[in-house]
Amino acid sequence: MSWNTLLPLLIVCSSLIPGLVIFFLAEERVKTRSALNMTGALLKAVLVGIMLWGIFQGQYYEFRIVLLPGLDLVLRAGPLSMLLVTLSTVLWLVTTVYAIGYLENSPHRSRFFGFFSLCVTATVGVAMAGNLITFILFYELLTLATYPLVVHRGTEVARRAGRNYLVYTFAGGALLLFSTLWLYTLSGSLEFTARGFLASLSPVHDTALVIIFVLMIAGVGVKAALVPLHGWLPQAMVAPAPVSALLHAVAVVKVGAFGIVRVVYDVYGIEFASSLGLLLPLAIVASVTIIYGSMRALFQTDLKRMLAFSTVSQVSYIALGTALGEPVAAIGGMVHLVHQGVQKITLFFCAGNLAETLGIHKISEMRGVGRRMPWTMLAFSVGALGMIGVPPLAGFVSKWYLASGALDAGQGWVVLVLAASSLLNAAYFLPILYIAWFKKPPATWPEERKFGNRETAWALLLPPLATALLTIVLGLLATAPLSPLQWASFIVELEFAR
Amino acid sequence: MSAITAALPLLLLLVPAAPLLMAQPALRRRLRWPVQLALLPAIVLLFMPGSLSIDLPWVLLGDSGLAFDGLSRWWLAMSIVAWGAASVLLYSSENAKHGDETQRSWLLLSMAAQLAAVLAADLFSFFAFSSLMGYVFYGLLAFSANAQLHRAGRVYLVFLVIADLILFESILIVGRSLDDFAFARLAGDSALSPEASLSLLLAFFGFALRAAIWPLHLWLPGAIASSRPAIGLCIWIAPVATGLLGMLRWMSLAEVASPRVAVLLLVSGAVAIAYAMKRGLSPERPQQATAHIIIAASGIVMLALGTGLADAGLWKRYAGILPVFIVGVGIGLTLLSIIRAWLERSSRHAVPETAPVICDPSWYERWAQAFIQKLRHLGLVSLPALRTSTLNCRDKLWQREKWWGRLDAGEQYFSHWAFAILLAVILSILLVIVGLYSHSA
Amino acid sequence: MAILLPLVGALGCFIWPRRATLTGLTSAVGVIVSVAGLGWRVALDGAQRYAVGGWHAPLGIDLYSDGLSLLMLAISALVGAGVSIYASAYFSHPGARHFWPLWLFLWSALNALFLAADIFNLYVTLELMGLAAVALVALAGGANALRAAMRYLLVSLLGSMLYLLGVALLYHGFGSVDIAILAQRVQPTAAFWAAMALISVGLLLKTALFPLHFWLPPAHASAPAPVSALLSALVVKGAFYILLRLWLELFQGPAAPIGQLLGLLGAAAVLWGGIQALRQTRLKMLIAYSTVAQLGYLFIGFSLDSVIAWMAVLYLAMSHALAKAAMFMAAGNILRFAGHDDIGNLNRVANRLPLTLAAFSLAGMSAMGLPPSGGFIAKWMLLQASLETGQWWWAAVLVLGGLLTAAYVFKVIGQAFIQAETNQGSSEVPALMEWTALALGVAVILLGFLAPQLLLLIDIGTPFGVGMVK
Repeated sequence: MSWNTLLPLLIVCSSLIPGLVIFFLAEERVKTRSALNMTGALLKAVLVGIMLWGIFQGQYYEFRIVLLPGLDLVLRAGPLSMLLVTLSTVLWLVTTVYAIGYLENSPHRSRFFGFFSLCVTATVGVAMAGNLITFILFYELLTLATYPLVVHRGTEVARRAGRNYLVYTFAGGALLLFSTLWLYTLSGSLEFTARGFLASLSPVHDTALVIIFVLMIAGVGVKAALVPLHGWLPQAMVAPAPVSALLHAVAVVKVGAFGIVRVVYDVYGIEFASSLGLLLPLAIVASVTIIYGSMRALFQTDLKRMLAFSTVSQVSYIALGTALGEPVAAIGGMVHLVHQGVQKITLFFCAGNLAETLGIHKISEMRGVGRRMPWTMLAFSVGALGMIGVPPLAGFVSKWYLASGALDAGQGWVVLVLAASSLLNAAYFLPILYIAWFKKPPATWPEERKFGNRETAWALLLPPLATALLTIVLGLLATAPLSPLQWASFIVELEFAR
Repeated sequence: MSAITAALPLLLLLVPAAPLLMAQPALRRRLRWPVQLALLPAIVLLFMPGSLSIDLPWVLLGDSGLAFDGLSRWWLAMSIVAWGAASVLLYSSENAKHGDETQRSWLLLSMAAQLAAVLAADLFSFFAFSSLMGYVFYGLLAFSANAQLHRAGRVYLVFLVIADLILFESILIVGRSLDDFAFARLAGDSALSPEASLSLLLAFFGFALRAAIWPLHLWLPGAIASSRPAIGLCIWIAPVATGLLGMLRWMSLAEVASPRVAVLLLVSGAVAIAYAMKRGLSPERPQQATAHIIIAASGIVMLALGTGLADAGLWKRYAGILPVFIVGVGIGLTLLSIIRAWLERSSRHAVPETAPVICDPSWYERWAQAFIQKLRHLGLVSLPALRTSTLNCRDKLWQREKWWGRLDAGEQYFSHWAFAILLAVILSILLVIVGLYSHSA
Repeated sequence: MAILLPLVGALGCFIWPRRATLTGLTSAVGVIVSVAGLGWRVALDGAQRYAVGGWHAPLGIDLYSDGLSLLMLAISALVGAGVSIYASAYFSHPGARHFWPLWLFLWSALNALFLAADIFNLYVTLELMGLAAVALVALAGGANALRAAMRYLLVSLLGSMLYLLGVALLYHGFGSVDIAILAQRVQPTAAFWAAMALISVGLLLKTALFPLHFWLPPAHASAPAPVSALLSALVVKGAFYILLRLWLELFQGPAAPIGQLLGLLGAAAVLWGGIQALRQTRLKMLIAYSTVAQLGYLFIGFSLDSVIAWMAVLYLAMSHALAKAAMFMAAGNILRFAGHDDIGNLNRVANRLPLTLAAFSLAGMSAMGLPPSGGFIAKWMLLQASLETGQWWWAAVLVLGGLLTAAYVFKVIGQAFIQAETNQGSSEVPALMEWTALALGVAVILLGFLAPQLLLLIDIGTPFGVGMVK
């Protein structure tokens, strides 16, 4: 086992092992647990850094064991993988800090952090999966690891949400498994390959391949919350804030979107998929989701629910970018994978801060909160403006690439979809900002906790500020070397034979 | 000496960076004259001879930069004067309350974005900075708790969002045929596609929305009428003048423009002047004079631009006059504001508190309100009701108890008739086997 | 030696009831060592045939061991070891006195069954196994357990009787009971068909294939936890093993219509068992019905009839044995802790017994067929076989069955997350019991990574080689 084969495994294990150890820790050992968590997160960050450097130097990382003859468990670090790996590693680090602060003195923390680590393990696994079977393995593991997090509160509502979540995701998983198997019997291979591995199959199988594609997209689309498979997501909002943040930004939803990217690029290959006529329907589904999600978000009174519907809408940008089948749009979609994650996690952190510090859950309760918690709301504003796509924030960059890619692909209507979505985004985010900054604060907050003369605890305040800063940096310095945008362009060069 | 020359372009960065820095509450509170301090680099830059430019390699889509050329010199001069005057008027020692303190941050932020937009060297960064300025300026506008101003601010914001979208599309369209967005290289670019005309139309429309050019001026008179003179000055310098600058910048694309755009501009300019004359000559309130001057001035600019579009030769010859005119208007407005403020202050001793002027919501506001109400009703009441009823329907179809009852009965049946089933299975298997056997035999 | 050791151990337990636990554990270790030894030889030298007392097939008793029987032996040794450790903590003294001899007796019968090379020996061991199992069910005491045990006894006897009838017919027709000799001699006469039918039905009854499953849930649910684990994990597999072996060796794989019929029944079992499991309010009943469903998967393999399908079936049998043992042990822990196994009131328990819950979850993962677990590998191969043979409807059933399994497993796990007041008094659960359950749960996950090696082992003696001829 050389270093290059071991590294992917180490990256997976760097969150798996702390997670497993944490399960066996007593509830009271806060320090040990936090130390373990942070060590894991930092170690992972370091390892991922080494790996990024290695890939930059042209190294090749692959770990492979045989599950069944002809069926391998493969962890491979390609450029596309590293996009999600890096995102989840960085955001996990931030979220861990946040979660430690958020869950102070609440019950079942060992359980929570254990599953939290497992969740990241699964995400990284999905990212580095080198074939469909490994992808499914971690995909299902992710379902299992997030379920306890969703129902963590243990209330009736939480359990119902958890049940719904399982129904949706397991059904999706079953579809994915079934279609993967079918594909396996047709092609005999499941390895992800740049530009796909199905184009060489005989045209006899075309109908079957179309059905398989639909099944697969439905399978991963459940997690990516494509309409009409999005029903679980707004309900899953009952989870604690760090969980929602992670769920929306990196773990579940993002993994679904990543799955769509993988299926289109590395299984079918962009040219083959478009020759089968599969991309336009996908683009239409994604567009419907974008508009529908925004419309629903417009009518929410609960802050977290609104953010959830906003996620439904935003994540489909990724699917849209993929489905346009055009390099520039593909860059936009892929870079949105990162940008949406960073922005959404900021928003959820802030929503969590408001709930935890002042007991604010409804949008109407946010009157004047900008004066009570200026830093939190500053981060929130940055995230929200980014979502709208205000330059020079991160969301703008992805929107730009998507729109110009759509023009290149000759799909002008997509530009209109994006414009409508931006307008709707503005329509539900700007009133919140207005209420928060310019209305008079009420005399008392619903449920206020004091943190000395600070607006809230450090552990709660720093993560959103960090991610908000990241949003600005990602947008402002979009073309810096090794930025997500550059990285996405690098991937796209591999995927599109040009 | 060479080190200094090399460091000079950094001054360009310092111009927007200084107000940004000063906007920090911690810093702002400690310093006595934060706005004036923040303007210092701009003033230094104004007196630099020649033009300067700096490339910001990683920013946005790459190849962005800040540059200091003829056009930006004029605007910089006007900005310095206007911002300086506005800050003095707003924060003279007499009315320095806490609220004003926070407002000063908004002012500094708007200033930073506006200065950056003035210095922007390409389409892209100009768009980015001016739209940022637009959002931040809303903070300045809406900060004072004045109902009328709030209403005007709302309209402003809606216009701003739409304008952003339109400008975005405009750049998108023109960007497809450009490899470089820099203004300097735009002028000579002959490879422009015929779509540039559409792009130009969109751009002018977007900037007109931002700069409150007639007939998109709806919010302007209300906002100016209900605020202090200094805010009126800020309105001129931030959204209006920056919008006009944008139009001037975009004129570089004008060579391929269609005459239709020119006609539109000419008409809008002429009507704007007429409108401003009519309202300005019979003013309801003296405060609104500023608004009418702004409308009329932008009308004149429109006329000039329209002429320029229609006749490129004329534009080439006389384009230099336009910035001078705009700067002149700016300085005039500054003087006007100072005088008005001075008058107001002297009259305030007589009338301690002027009641804020409340206008009735105008037609567009009522219409928008009604629309939003309808939509809200639809979204919050009608659709959820529909959803619940469909869900109920589904539940009725899926009556679990009935199904469970049947299942239980089935299981009971199996254990009750167990041996009978067993015999039946044996018999049927035997039958099948005998049948198979006789078939094969 | 794998047979004798537990037998001796059982006698030892009879003779020294006071040291029953110690004797039992010692013989368990012995059995494991001897199975490992056998495994070593089989792996090195291929299939083994051993004539007891030196007398060869037509006269004496032959023992035969190939990959199939070896793996069954190994898995029963593994589960047996788990159960032994678990039971040593579970049973208090009087219970232990009865449990150990019976269990060791059962174990030796089971090992003999897996090694037997002729159909009459199979009958003897089947009967012995059945009787020991019935006695173990009755161990719990109480009216319910006795009624279930009586019913079980009846079913067991009936099944064995049918089997014996079939054996008699075969012996009459072809003059031998040795499987290998029979395989060469059989002709498709009416008597042969009738014999196969009788044997099959008898064994189906003992394997509790739907709709002959009626006896299983009460019997498995009312027995003490280690016994339930044994019954579910091993005893039904014993009968299934005979069925598999006979069909494969004597019959060269099932004829298509019969295979389809069995598959259909299996599919019905998967769905019916799943739905019924979902309906249960008691944990042990739920697990018992889950066994009914999982046994259904085994029979779907019959309708597919390809090498992959047979391997899948065997793999499923193994992972199910481990998973079900872990599940029943977890249920036993919960029962011990709370005094009841009412699913609706499990919240408090689940909060306090994380290890048990983890064991249950891991086992549940395998039952659902989620990767990475033994159950996943098995299900993957089954699905692959069904798609390769173009019978996609079985794949649909498999997927649906997996979803049903997920539903009832999470019905239990979901209880763990209800906030509950934890201050009620409750009895302690020995740590050993928790850890044993967890160890089995982990083992079933590990099984998911051992597939290449295990599949090589299965191939020894090519038990499924005949299945290829089609």
